[in-house]
Parts: sequence; C-alpha cells; structure tokens
Amino acid sequence: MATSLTSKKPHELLAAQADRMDVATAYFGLPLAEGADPLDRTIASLDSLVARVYETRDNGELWLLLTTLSGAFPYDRDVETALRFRDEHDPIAFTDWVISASAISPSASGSSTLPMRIVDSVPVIDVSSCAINDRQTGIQRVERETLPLWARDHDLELVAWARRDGSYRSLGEKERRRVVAWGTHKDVPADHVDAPLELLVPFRTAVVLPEVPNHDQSGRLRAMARHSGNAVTAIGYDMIPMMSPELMPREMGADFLEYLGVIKYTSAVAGISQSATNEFRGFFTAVANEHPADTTVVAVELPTAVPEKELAVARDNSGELIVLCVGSHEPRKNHGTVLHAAEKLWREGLDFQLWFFGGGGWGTDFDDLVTKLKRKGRKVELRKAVSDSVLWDAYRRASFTVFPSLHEGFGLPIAEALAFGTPAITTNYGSTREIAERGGCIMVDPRSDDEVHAAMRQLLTEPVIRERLATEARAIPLRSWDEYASELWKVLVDDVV
Amino acid sequence: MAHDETSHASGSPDEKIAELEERIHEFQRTELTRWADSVAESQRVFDELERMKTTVSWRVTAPLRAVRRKQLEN
Repeated sequence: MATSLTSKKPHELLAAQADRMDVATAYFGLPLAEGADPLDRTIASLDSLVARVYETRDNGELWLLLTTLSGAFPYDRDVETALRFRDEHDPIAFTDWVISASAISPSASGSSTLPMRIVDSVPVIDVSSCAINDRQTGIQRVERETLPLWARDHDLELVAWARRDGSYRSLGEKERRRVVAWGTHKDVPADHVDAPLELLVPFRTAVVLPEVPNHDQSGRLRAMARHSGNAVTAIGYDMIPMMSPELMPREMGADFLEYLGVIKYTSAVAGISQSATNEFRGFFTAVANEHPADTTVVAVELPTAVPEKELAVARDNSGELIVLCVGSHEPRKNHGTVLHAAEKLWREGLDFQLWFFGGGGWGTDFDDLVTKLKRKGRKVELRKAVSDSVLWDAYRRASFTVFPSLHEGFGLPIAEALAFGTPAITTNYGSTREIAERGGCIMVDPRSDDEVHAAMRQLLTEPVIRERLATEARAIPLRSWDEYASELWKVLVDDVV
Repeated sequence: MAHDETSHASGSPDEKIAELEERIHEFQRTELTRWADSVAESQRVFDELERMKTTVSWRVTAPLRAVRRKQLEN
C-alpha cells in the first residue's frame, strides 16, 4: 500500500520542503514565511529557525531542523558535523552550510514529499515490520497481543518506516489493523481509501522500539537517541547474534551490531526474560568504561501466548505416543540432536511419532535427515506452515515436547506446552531454565546427545513421570497479556517521559 | 566610513550590502534546487530498482540468486 512507486519531481520536493519548514516555524511560534515561491519560503523559515537554534543551543532543536529541511532523520555524523559547524561559525555561515551540505546526505533516502507532523504529546511506537507483513513469528505475536491493549488504554502514535527508510510515516488502515486488530486486516474493502500519509517526527517524547530495526534505520535511530531529546526505549528480546554468533547467519550479526549502537543510547530496555535482561545488562557493563550507562534495564517477562478458550479444551493424548518439537530449523534450535536421539530410540524398539512444527530455517541438513528417516519408515512428520489452532491441537495431543535449544531469549514453545499441561524436555540454562524451574519439565544439557536421549526415553517409557510433570504444568499460574502490557508501558513510557 | 577599499566604485556601502545579500540569496536558491535535483534522481534510481524486481526476468533468475546466497551463507 502506501507510498507509491512514483519518483517525485524536484519542484514537488521543494514545495514539500517549504511546507515542512512552515510546520517547524509554527511549532516554535515563529512568524510564518510569506510569498508563494517555495525556495524563498524555505530560506526565510531557515533564517528564523537557525536564529532560534543559535539562541537556545538545544541539540534536539538542531536535530529537528535537519529532519525538517531534508524530510529524513539524520545520521549521527550529520548531527555531529552540524553541531560543530554551529559552534564554530556564525548563523549566516551556518545557514549556507546547512543548505549546501547537510541536506544531501540524509534526504537521499527520505520521504521528502509527505506532509510533516511533529508528535510531542504522545509516545511513538515503531511497528514497521508488524504493520507491513503477515508474518506471525515471536516478535510479531508480542506486538499483536500488546499493542491492542496499549491502544485501548493510552493515546499513542503507531508508525512505520517510510519505503526508503529515511523517516517515520503514519499507517494505512490495513496496516493499523495488522497491529491492533490482527485477523481483521483482510476485511478492509478493496476500495477503501486511506487518509493521506504523513511524515511523523517524534520530538521530546518516548519512541518505543518493540522490534529490531535494520541497519539503516538503526543509524538514524542512534542519532535520534543521542541528540533529539526523545527518550528511545526498546523491548530486549535477546543478544543471540552477539553472544552466540556461531548460531546465526552472518548478515544478521551486522544488523544486530548496528542495533546495539541504538541500544547503547536508549533510556530503557525491557528484557523478555531474566536471562535476556542479564544479557543486555552485560552489554551495558561491557561498554561502561567509555559510556557510563543511565539506561534502565529491567525484566518484564513475557506471558504465555495461548487464548483461554484453547486452554479450556481437554488434552487428548490417549492414543499413540507423540513427541512434539516446535521451532524453525536452524543450528540454534538443535534439532539434529533430537533426530539423533529419536533414531536411537527407534532402533531400541520404542514406538512413537516425532512431529516437527515450524517453518523457515537455514544452515542445517535437517531436511535431508528427515527424508532419510522417512525412507527407513520412521514415523517423523514435518509441518512447515501451521495455523495457531493446529499448533494448539498438537500441544494437546502430544505426550511431551522437546525443546533443547542452544540459546533462547524466552522459549515460547515451552511456556505454551506447559500452559496446555504438556510436559517438556528443555535446556538446563538461560531463559528456558527460568521457565522449567516452575515445574513440568526435565532439564538437560542440550549439548549432550546422551542426556537428550535419556530424557526422551524416560518420558516415552514411564507414563507415571509424564503424568506427574503434566500435573505440575497445570498448576503453574499463567501470566496475562494485560499484566505484561501494563508493566511494559510503565517501563518504556511512563518512567522515561 | 570615509573610504572603503572593498566597495564597488558604482555603489554605496548600503547598495553593496544589498547586492551581496541578493547574491547569497541566489546562491541559497541554487543550492536548494541542486538538493531537490539530487534527491529526485536518487529516488528515481531507487524506484527503477524496485520496478526491476517486479519483472519476469528478475523472477526467473531468482533461483540463481538463492544458490548464490546459500553459497555465501556456507
């Protein structure tokens, strides 16, 4: 939707620039430029705004001036150069410089023709990925459960990055529904006409990052966190690309390092588990020598994402033994160990089904291994794209789940399985240990094939232990999305503005 | 000022200042126009790349790019 694929002509860019300058001068109560010529209007507004920037010496106002002139959020280097030029030269020289130099770099990828609105009275929530695609992985699920509750209880502004990634823009109706009314976004009529998009500029407010931005966005967000006067805050999912780089694709590592450059200057980070929080605290400790942190880093633990009506349906695992393994197929998830243990158990004469639910994946020979096992007649099932309801049904039918992940930020499949009263085998450290310590689980060293094999053998052959763990699982109190959303708002919004 | 070495012979100091201000203004207009030209050109190139990605030839060569990506990953 949204931004058209039509390049703008120079005169349209100049007219939009003059309009943006009007918005900024009006915001500061300065006299509006007169006349019809956009070039003259921009120059007149610039004179007023530069005079103000020299008078107040407020770095945030300088950041806003650069954003307004170019129609895109500046990078660190743009703001730093502008600050130095401001301190070394008089307003006339600065005006010439800001026109001829600083405007080029940030605006090459900016959305320079959208009308601008400054958002200063409500928090701005960056929901780019959640708004523009239908993926429903962990991060999107957190957003689609939390943001409807935030929108119900608070005034806020949902934003996405503009197509060329230079600035925030407003959302269309379908995008908005993807975030706060998931499932109804496909009901938006084909002939629905959205209100014109706006370029949204947060100023002296909270900017919340519930997702991980790409490297270009991170470059601009770092400057925003450092210089704009906005309090940038984030949900801290994990530090896996930095702590376990051998388990992640190389390009993801590069993006994540840029993201850490933003995190370093945030006002607050809310970790999704104690383990994830400890990782982010570790990062701030590591950089403390050169960057004494005043960032609040606290755990706001995720709830269990299962609708109550689903939990009300009785479990049905009276038939054949089923072992369920949920997650994408990548080195970190350690599915090779599960396949190895299962093959040993089949060879030992045990009879059971092994179900893998999860799409995507990279960097493993998982598909080949499954094909070979199937050729041997092993009961291994692979489902790559499943709906929530199919997944919930699988949890109900499974005898137990196996989740020996090598590194997790939370461990949603374990929490979900336990919510259904399904026992689990999982990793004996990190966030999965936090969940497992509440009961219903056998903990193993995921790097030990023998421990995974022994735990699976025990649960396949000892129904009494399965039942004991199921009873423990059913007794674990469930945390609600309402509780999570409320605590998260306090940490990421209320406490920073 | 009794005598200004920098003044143009045909103008008073006030006229000279006005002329310089006018030249600065023209310089600023030129620079803003160049900025708009440069942004428009970069956006045109960006959009052309986007359009290229919707073509049949881009789609039929997708497997080649996927193989290359795998090679780089491994």
